[in-house]
Amino acid sequence: MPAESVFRAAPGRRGEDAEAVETTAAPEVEREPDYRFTLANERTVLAWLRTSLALMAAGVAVVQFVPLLGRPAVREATGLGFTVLSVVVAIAAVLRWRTVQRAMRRGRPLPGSAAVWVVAAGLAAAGLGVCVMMLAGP
Amino acid sequence: MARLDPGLQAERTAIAWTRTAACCLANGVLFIPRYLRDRTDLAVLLLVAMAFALAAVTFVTARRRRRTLTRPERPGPVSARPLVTVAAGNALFGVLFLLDLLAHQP
Repeated sequence: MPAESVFRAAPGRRGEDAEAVETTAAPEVEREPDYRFTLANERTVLAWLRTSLALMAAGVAVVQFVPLLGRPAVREATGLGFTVLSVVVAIAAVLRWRTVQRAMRRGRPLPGSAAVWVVAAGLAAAGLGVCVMMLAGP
Repeated sequence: MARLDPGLQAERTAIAWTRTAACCLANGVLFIPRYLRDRTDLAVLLLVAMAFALAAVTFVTARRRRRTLTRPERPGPVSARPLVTVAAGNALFGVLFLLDLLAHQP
């Protein structure tokens, strides 16, 4: 259990640490980070998953509930865009959760993420699509 | 809380799970009007069932996580399985929805 490993790692930490530094090159040493960071990482991935679920809902809503808005092709393209973005975000969220947890275990700096930019660009494109639909009228 | 929990980390995490479960429900609910219109449409049935199943799984995970986090020991990281389930379930839902969309193209 990871919960126990935190406890077990804590008391013998000094001795193990010194040994590890001498025997192996430091980067491969893995230790569970402070539980608050672990939980923060968990909440972050859940927030990303909720973003993904919300994008899916937006995609479904555009297709199902605004039949009078714009041409069918544009409407469906917008719904399609939302859905694809949602799928990408869901997969990226879990991958990032794993990468971040690993980086924290090894005491490495957290990796950067392009996800925010991708979502922002996607939302901007979808917003433009909706604007065009509203201006063009039925 | 049995343990001193500065910043209410455990509680916030448990609530985040519950919130995610509620979000899963939304996708199923959005399909209900279409389901009421055509109760024989297999794709819609499948989509609604998937969304509700995903919501149920997430609610169960939320309950379990809440119980784990309120124990006096320090909590470990969540296992990857529920996270992967929610992500993969949503991705699958999206793919199914896309297929449905393409099949019904006017």
